[in-house]
Amino acid sequence: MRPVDWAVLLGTIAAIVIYGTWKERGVNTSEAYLRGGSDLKWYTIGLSIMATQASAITFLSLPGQAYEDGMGFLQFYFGLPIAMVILSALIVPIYYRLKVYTAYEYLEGRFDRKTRQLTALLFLLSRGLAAGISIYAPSIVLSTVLGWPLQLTNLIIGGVVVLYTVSGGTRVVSRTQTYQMIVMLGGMAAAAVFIWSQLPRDLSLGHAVRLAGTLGKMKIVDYSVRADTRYTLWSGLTGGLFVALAYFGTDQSQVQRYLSGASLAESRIGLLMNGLVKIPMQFLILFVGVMLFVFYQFNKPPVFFNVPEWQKAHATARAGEVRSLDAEWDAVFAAKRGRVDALVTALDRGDPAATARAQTDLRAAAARSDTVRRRAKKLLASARPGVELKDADYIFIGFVLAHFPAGLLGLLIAVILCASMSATASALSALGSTTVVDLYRPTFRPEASDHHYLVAGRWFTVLWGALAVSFAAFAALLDNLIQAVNILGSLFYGPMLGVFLVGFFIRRVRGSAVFWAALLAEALVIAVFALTSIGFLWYNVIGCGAVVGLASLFQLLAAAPKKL
Amino acid sequence: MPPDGDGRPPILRTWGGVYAIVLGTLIALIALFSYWSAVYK
Repeated sequence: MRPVDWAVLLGTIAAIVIYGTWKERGVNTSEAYLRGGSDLKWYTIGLSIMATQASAITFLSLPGQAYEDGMGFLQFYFGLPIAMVILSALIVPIYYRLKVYTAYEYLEGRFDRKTRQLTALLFLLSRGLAAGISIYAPSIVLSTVLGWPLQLTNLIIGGVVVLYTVSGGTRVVSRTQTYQMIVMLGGMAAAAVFIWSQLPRDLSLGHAVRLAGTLGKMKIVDYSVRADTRYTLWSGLTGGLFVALAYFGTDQSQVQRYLSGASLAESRIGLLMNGLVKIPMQFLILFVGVMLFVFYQFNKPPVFFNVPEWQKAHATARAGEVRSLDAEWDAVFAAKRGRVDALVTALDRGDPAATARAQTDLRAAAARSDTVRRRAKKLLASARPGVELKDADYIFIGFVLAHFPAGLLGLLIAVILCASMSATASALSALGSTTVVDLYRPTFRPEASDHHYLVAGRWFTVLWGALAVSFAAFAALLDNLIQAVNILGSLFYGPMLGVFLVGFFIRRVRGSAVFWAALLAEALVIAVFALTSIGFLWYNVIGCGAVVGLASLFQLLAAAPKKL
Repeated sequence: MPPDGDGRPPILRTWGGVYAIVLGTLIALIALFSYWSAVYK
């Protein structure tokens, strides 16, 4: 990083945090701290909702995912707009009518305290672990590629977030997220324009996309019906709908965002804005990965994208094989490059027969190239046992570091840190609020003063921040943790959503029936995760369906007349 | 939502209209992406 990059990075982060904290200074009631004061406009709510969901992983992983597997991941978001409509029409009005601080508060009035606290605990467990990962994920990548100390990076990200979250609670979180989201969108748009400028001058956008499509990167919609295929139109519309309903309807880190709206209408429009903008935004981020893929058809990519790890392999006992594989990589790239040029020429001439032939040749050359890449990973695994072989997260950041001009690099690192901070801040704020409102106040201090709950909210935010940073430090010791935590939400969201749906729509079911149904459904989801290969999006459907079915059954049994 | 006659197009005067725009946009996007999936291969 050059001095101008540091200036852009530190200037952006500092300006957002200082200005946001200053604008929201003087928060001195528990209502303002925990609930947000109820005066936010729809655009603040909408941007804040989007910033909460966009973690650093979104910007680090998605372009890499599109580079490796194409645009199919976009289908994951197809259920989201439907969920926004359902929430706006049916759920948000209930929260507003009851004037709740947290989503779980509703469950005590509808069922009983044990159901409220069980659901709050499921949230605290899943979100608490995920908060650690939202700090850890960018730290591990930035420490690898920029040489920043991992634990110090964790501590700085976590420390800054705790400081400003404690200062103004959910109000300052929403305020800073608005600016962070603008930086994220602006940064990614600038990245897309820059990558486009690096492609060959005579390559049209249509031909660039056709080139990517030839190698399978433009298959956005998959109509196949297979439960073990992770992303299809159907899993997106059903599993994605359930995930979005659970996440936006029952996860306090999101519910807190729209409960701070000035009115029901502002909250609804904020949610619907998310429903309209989310898919195009994710398309843009994935498309950056596809354009990167096209760039690397004309310019030789590294054989392994975590370049520092590959370089270390040159200093092992297998160095000879590593060098020979490097030479082989050069050769397969040169051969593939010839096929790419042939395809572009055929497309330019508008010759369908020549285009079809060139596509077949290019696919064969790409398959040889993929084989060499797989062998490189195998070699790396034997040369440096224990090294992480998944390198997709390094594709985008590696390109940014190698090619971005001064200033833009600093902006992109700011995008990644903004994403991490915005996701962590709303998580910590929601964890603190839920701990006070759903556990501490009803169980330990039901009659304390408002000031007491304000102070307690601040201390619980600090405590969750410390736990998240500790978990982020511990995460470095574990393998495949990011993948594990990606499915973590789906392990808990199904039963959580089931409890709420029973509450909203099945009036005859009472507290004990839904409580035991939720516990059994949670056990069922964990069993499905441990014993089957079903795609994780379906866990949400299974968990939710199990709660609804079992709670109805238990209520029926409880209500049946007893014969002596 | 504000009452009728505030200058908004009729579809934006009711929540049902706003929801229809959100869901209609989703259908249009899926159709567009399906078309691209078929064309760019």
